[in-house]
Amino acid sequence: MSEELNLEPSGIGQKRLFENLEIDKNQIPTMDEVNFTNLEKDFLWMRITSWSIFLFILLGFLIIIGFKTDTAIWKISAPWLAFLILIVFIELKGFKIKGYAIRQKDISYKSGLIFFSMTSVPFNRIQHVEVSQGPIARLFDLASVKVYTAGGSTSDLRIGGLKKEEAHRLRDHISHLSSQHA
Amino acid sequence: MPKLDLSKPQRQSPIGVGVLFFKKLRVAINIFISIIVVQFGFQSNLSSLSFMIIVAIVLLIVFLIAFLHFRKFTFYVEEDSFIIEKGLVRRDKVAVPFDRIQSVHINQNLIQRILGVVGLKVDTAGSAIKELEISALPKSYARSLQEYLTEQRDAVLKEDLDSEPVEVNIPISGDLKAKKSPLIKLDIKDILRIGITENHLKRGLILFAIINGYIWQYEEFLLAPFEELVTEYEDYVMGEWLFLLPIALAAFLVVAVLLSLIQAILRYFDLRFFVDEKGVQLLAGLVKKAEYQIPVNKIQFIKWSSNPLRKIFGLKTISVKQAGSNQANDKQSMVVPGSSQEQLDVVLDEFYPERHDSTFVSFQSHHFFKIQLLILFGILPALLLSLLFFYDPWFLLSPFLWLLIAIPLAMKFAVSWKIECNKDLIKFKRGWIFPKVVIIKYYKIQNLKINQNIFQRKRNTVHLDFFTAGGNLRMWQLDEKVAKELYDYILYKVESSEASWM
Repeated sequence: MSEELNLEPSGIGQKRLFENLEIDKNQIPTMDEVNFTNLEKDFLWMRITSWSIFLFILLGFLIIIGFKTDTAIWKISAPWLAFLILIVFIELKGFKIKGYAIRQKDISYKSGLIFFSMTSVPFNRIQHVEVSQGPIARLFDLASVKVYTAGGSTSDLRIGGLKKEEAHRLRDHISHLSSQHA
Repeated sequence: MPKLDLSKPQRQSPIGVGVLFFKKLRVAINIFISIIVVQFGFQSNLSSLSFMIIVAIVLLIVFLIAFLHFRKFTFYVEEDSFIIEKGLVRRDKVAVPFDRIQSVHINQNLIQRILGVVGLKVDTAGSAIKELEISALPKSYARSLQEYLTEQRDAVLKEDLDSEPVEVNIPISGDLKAKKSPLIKLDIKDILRIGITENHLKRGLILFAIINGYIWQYEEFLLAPFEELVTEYEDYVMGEWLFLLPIALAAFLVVAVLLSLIQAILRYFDLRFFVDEKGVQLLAGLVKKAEYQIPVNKIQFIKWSSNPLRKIFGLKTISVKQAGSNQANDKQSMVVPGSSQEQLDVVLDEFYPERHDSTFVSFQSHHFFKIQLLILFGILPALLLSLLFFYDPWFLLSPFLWLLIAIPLAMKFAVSWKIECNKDLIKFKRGWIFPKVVIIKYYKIQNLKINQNIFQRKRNTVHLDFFTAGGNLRMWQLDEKVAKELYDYILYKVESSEASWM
């Protein structure tokens, strides 16, 4: 335990965090037990579609450059294909990680295969909530919900890949809860 | 005290034309200076008639613009908002609801002082509302406007609170200075001490960057007269750079120290810092008189820092951070230099009495952090330095020299990085040569984020981000188990707290 916590220099290696609490530490709700809701399957296809659009435009440019510089076509297409496969692999694997959870008093979102991150916003700290929809998302009838706090732009929570009416429902739900807690 | 009638649009004091004139003139000079330099060069006769005529025309235009801006600038109160209308071409109407007002400052720059008026600035919490500034008001009028606005805000906030059975500190602002003597008062000796112990390296580099940027613009004109001289001595100078370098460094240091001294006197002259249960207030400035106050519930966190020179005198710099529309803007914090440990303790006891309630538990970054810093600041630069080998074999010594300096520095820095938590507070400590400590109440935290990349997954470490309205903080390479426990605990504290973060 002490080795894992790396507390030796302060000489409190045997102590548990917050053992000096009045409340029982085990009564504090923990994120580990929360069930996250996965995003719509269409979101995966949407991500792959937008990547494909970008990659095919890139391929077009690469082929033009290839012709101008007399580079063999496989020298261009092989790394491109490898990149495409990598992207699809990451998206497929990463999709299972993405998810959101609403508890009684906060909302959380997690994502990221290579760079995992999880963020939680308490309802009593929400500034406002909005629904937004990009052009590609419109094709899939998807929308994202964005939750703003006073903690600056990097702290905002964004849930992509919800059905449009689901996104609106979620926004109403969150703003209802946040006004209750404000 | 003059009576306020804000139901109708009000103009600034007529002297405002003067203030606006100098403000616009500065902009105009900035625009025209390069044109003038390019057009006339340095050789031309500045007293020539055509030049005088151009100057006169520009002055007239600037005056006209200033006058029109003055005419079009009005402020008034409508329902529960303070409204400013301004702009010549693009009309702006900025409305601030009273409850969004953070604080109201009165300040006075050199021109305002000469013309005998003051400026009034309204800080807001929202990111959507721009900063509001009225540039010329008679002092007594500004005072009563300041009082009126803070009163209105407090009244609206109180109304909101009355409808809910929540107990929160109601901000009461007003004249704090009347009742108490200042906690920190700097005399000229203190200010010189602060100026001398400034971080000269940083200041010097900024100065260098600015001068470099400016000189480059006018390089042709500035260097032209010296061209012959430069070419003549070029060989000599290049050969003797080992001799010239220390001289250049010494000159650089002298200029940097002088600059720090001048700036310290300008900014901190007659500084008085007041602390009581309502909040903090700061009065300071030689040419530009500044007056800031932050009510207690607007304080997001308090930071204190030092440097090796200041440690000798036992001086610390306290920064009080308030919620701001712009995170990067340092103006949102009140900086009080030259505080002793005892004075710092008074501030902390006033706003963070919880620090005595329970013991702090300390957590350090994982060993992995050391390795990370070592690679980033030690090995990578050393590898780059070793490339110089191709230039001259003697340079092969430099990577070893670098490692000799970088390894202990990186190690010390990694170890200095820690967080300390008790039941209500979290402290962030970091830095060894330039130590910094930040103290935050849990309920001032907006939200939390755990970050873990694939390298960290194997080692069970995470980066933990803490977001507040006064800025964000990150704890690097924290043990995953500790981070999760802390994450749950802080969320619990924030969600169960009834206290308002602003």
